[in-house]
Amino acid sequence: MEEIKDIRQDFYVNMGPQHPSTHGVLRIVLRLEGERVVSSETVLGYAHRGVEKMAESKTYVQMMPVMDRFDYVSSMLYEWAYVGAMERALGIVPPERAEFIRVIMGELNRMASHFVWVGAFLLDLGAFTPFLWVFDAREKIMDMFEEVTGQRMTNNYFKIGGVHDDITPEFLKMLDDYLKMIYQRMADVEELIESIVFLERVKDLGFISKEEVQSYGLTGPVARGSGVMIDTRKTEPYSVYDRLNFEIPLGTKGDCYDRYRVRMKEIIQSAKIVEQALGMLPEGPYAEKAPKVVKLPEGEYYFAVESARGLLGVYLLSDGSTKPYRFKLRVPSFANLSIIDKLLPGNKISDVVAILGSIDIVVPEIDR
Amino acid sequence: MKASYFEKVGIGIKTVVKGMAKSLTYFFKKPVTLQYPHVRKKIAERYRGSIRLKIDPETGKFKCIACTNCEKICPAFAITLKTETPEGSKKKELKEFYVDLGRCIYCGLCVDSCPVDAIEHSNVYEVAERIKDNLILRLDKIGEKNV
Repeated sequence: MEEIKDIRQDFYVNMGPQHPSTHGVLRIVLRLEGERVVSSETVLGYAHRGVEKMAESKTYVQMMPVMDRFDYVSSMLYEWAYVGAMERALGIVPPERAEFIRVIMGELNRMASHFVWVGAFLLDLGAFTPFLWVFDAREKIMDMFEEVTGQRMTNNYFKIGGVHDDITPEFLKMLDDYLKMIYQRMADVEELIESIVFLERVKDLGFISKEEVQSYGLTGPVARGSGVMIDTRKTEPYSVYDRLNFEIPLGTKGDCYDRYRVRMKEIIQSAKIVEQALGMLPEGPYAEKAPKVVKLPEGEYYFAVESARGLLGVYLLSDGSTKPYRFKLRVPSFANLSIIDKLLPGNKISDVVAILGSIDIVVPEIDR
Repeated sequence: MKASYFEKVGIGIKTVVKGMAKSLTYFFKKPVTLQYPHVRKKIAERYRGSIRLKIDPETGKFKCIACTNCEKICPAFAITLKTETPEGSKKKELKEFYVDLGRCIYCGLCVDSCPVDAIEHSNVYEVAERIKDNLILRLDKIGEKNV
């Protein structure tokens, strides 16, 4: 046996940048011993577009459509963070109706994002049918977005002081039908997914402890899966979230299965928030008057929202002109990905996909 | 307590049968997909398709006053305007209006920035071309594709 051990060599496998399970151009160099991962190294930069530098040469309004293009599955939450930072700088308070429309749109977007995650995660693990079911549910949200904002994904809907357009009666009708359908659909998906084939693959895999959540700066469902209560909507309520009644689902063990459970419960909670916000939706204007030429007063401004993946912060440093002096994003995926090199060693190569999938990364927001 | 191997096999068969039964109910539902070229989805009224210039119904001319606001605000540099000032008049007039659909990101900032509401999004979404140059449209000519 001794001799065989000696001739063993380290085997390197490049996962990505063209790999279907990395969902974008991410490269992970895996060092293998047999079927087990000994160590891994994440290589970034394949989708780097230099957006933070680009922001310095674009006006504040011109940056609005670019905000949709970081996290393309929950784009309106990004608009929200950016618009929020600018509103804080200009001292504009959006009208009540606008805030509720933002909450409805934001939560629908969070649901859409989690649907994409559930579908893609199960597709990585080899289940195809749930992917079709959740994408049907997502497509109905996209139809609603098209009805109100004019686009399916790159919405460009939030404006300084409110939203671009009012919601339509047709949208309310679609949303009513949708909320009636969604709970049944989620129950169906859960019943289909939670077979022993799935549970055996995700349970007791990729543990993240509470201490690791803090030391790596993890946020979002990844942190909440480990039982850490971090949610900007509760801890630092923005908009009208302090008036809405909702729960933050928490996991207990911090394995892949807990992170999956947290996201599935969050979809239900988001649907409940949308229902509440619809009931509380006041009449009135949907936008405050915004200045034609946006010039932020000198200073630093920061605004954070809870995106579908965690804490999302936009930092603006203004020198008083029409363009930001410095534009910085604190993106959740980048921090969440940082723990992957800690999680992978010791696991089998087929579990790499499950662990990476459970983190829920979107590469364009990691490489900005 | 860990389940034994045979118990696991039993649970596996049970859950697979349960999942199959569930998917069978979806088998009898109406399909959600459309046979695209033959059946088309209803496009929302606000849908932001390729842009076009509006014509004033009273004069029959384009509403555009050649202020070049849309050219300035476009984040993708898709719009190019050529203006001229006729002799004896101080007002600028529109000479040529180009939009490069290969660059356009359909964000709608040009429509928002127009002071006279002279530009709008159409519902046209099938704009694929074989030759790249065909994507550059001249919008101020009646009879072109998107006018």
